[in-house]
Amino acid sequence: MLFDNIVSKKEWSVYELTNYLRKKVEMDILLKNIYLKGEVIRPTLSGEHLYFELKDLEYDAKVKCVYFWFDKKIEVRHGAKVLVKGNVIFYEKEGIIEIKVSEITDIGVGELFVKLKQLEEKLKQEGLFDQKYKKEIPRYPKKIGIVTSKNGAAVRDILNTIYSKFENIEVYIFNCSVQGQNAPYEICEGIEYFNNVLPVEVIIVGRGGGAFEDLMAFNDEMVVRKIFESKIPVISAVGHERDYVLTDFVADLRAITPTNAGEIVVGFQNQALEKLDEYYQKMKILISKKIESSREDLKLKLYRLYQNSPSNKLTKLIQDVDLLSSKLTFLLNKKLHNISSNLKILEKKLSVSSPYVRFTKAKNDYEILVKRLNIAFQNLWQKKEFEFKIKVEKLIALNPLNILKRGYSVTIHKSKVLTTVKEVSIGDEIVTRITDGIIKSKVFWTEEGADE
Amino acid sequence: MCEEARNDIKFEDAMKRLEEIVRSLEEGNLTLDEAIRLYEEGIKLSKLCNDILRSVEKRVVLIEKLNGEYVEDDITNDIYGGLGQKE
Repeated sequence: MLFDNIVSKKEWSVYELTNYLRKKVEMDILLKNIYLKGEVIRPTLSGEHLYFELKDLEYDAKVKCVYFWFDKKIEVRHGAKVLVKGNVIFYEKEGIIEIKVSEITDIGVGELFVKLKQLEEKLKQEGLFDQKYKKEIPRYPKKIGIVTSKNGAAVRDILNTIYSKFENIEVYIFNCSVQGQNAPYEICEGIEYFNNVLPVEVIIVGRGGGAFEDLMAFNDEMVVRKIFESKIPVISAVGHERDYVLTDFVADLRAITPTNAGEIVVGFQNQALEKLDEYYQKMKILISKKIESSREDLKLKLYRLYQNSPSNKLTKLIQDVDLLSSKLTFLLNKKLHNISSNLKILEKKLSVSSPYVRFTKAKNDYEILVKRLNIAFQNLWQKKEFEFKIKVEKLIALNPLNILKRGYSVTIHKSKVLTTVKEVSIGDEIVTRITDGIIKSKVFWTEEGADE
Repeated sequence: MCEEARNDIKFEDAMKRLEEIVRSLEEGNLTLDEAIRLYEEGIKLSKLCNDILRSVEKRVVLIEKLNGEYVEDDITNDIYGGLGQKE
């Protein structure tokens, strides 16, 4: 029925054709559950599904494959030689034949890998990897060229590393593809540019990590040869540490990562900067210490000089004098103090025997004596008065005048009663008292023992 | 290349001498005059090394092939912007 309809038609619609082909393919039992051998090309994961092409191992032939609900634990690398199990289908929307894969098995090293190994061997034989061709990487480069994609992580890692410690470095980035058909040509252009147009001191060629086939540009023979020819030292910085590519072997130095390449170009400079700073600080500290110790030394010498100087001796003497004088003052003061305290004692003692006291005492004594005198005098007086009275009576009884009355007289010479002739001399005036008056006479003769 | 190598040697010789000077100063059995002379030499060398290390300023240049011509673009002031990367 169906076929009749189509056969009878002069023209087909696209859908009619695709629909016909889909059914034709689906109905072919030979195309069900087939095993297909080939090399995986460009596996790409889209959501849960894996798309890739399977390339014939000998002839130039390939077929598209899709693996729905692909188990991500299985690694399907570009270039891997695999055996897939699946059904052949016709995908109407694209108008293509596809293998709908249900199983995939790695059956050994891929052709690409084998070719790579062959190339490596060939280049090695040619001597491109020889140590003798390695150029020295400058230790203090100031101008650095980078050949990589401006959009990749590698350039960012390198720049971050270079500028992390100090900023005195110039970096020239040659933007190029790092994967795909054009990548080898563009990488070569970059190396040429730095060799011919913009000279730098070292070139970093690289990219970040990726699948094996993503790194293929760095396994390209043209790129390897270009690096070998470079007059400027080249550092290869591709992927991660475990990724090895041919540029790693031909380059003058292999950096394990792009970050490591950055470290290599600034490593010596960072170290030198730290050392310079350290030396500078040390020198400053050491010289100040030296100056300080010299100053101390000088001070000591000056001190010793001063110690032995005449002026200091004088000062010492002055000090001695001061000391002695103060000692003296002290002793004097002490002595003075002693004397003064002695004085006080004496004063005290003296005050006890002061004139006033003595006067008072004397006065007392005197008064007592006066009293006693008065009493004695009175006694004496009374006694004498008594005696006197007696004597007066006696006297009255014996009064010479009474005697005189009786005719007797008294001769007086020189106010003395004359009792002997020896008391007068010839010529002396004598007074003779008689009862009623006096007679003055002149002696003209004396004789002892004579009677009248 | 040759010139660069010479620069490396010049720098490293200066650093070596600087290290010697620091060691001599550390040992300390120098007269004040000697110490000051070494210090002055050391300061000169450290300036020389610093000048070599800091002989250029930070500069980042992007080279791209646009319409078949190489274009150099100074992106020092906005490196990641210049590279078309977001910070």
